[in-house]
Amino acid sequence: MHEGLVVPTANERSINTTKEIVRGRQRVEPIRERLKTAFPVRPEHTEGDDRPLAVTAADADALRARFARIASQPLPGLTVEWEPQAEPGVLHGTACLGARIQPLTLLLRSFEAYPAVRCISPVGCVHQSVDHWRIVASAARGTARIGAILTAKSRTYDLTVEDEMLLTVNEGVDATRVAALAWRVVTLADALEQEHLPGRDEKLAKFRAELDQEAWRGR
Amino acid sequence: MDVDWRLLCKATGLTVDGDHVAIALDDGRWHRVAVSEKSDAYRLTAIVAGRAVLSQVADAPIRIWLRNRETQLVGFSIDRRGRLKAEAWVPKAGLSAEELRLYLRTVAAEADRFKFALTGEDAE
Repeated sequence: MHEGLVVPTANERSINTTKEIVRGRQRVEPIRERLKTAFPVRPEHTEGDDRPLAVTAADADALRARFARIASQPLPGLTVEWEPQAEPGVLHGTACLGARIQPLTLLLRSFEAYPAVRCISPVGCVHQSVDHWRIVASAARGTARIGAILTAKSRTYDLTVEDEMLLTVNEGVDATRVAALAWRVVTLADALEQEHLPGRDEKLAKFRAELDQEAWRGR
Repeated sequence: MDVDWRLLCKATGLTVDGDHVAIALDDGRWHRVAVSEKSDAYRLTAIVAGRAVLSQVADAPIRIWLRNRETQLVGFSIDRRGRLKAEAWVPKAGLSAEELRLYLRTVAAEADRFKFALTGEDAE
């Protein structure tokens, strides 16, 4: 499509979806120089009506502010102690589950035309030491999804519980929706921690640095 | 909080059959999505693959959990019968017909896509 962007011939020219799924995401270095199309562009191709953006910078700012307000209102049925917000679109907190605690992170995302909130709760380092089918069995009636991280690096967690939901035009239901989402996620994460990492009840501080990186995943 | 998912489905022209909704996919194929009602949400599920198919997939749990890190709205899990299912939880609070339709369509499409990735087969 562009001049100078040539795939090395030694590389595979096809995509094996099975391999790609297992491989996970890789950070790709952005192209910083100006691209030049390999196709002729006539002047009339660059003409057109000016149309306003469907979503403006002001809309994005308003959405980030709305997301931040989640931490300033009570969540029905769930007590969360929020950390001071360090980055727009990211909230870290600790859910209180009776005598136990469970860290969680909320991320502002989008899905099609809707804003969305993803909730992630780390379980700990589990899946490389516990039989996978034992984890499957303990999560079979779960109310959220399990996520795994494959890496050779030392990490504070390699198993997560996470899920996502949409925000509607009605901000008045945000607290109710987020509370239900967070409840489903943290209760399953805590149950997995109790079963597969007995005696542990880790705090947010342990996972914080890697949870910060979650905000950049998939961008 | 009191919303009737069947009415919402009918409002957007979806076909309801008992507790299931038939979702049209590309190329004239369909995928059935089950709807079960909880106190504050609807749980949408679609079967991706049965136990026999899943037993042929190497490292199935890890493949599912890696995919769960990437998909939006929809997650995958293995149920007590050994089936791989796609699932989404739809909050009742503030739910509109259009939003429910988006969730249903996404569950069906993700189930179809994952089944193809695992087996090379199209949806049931």
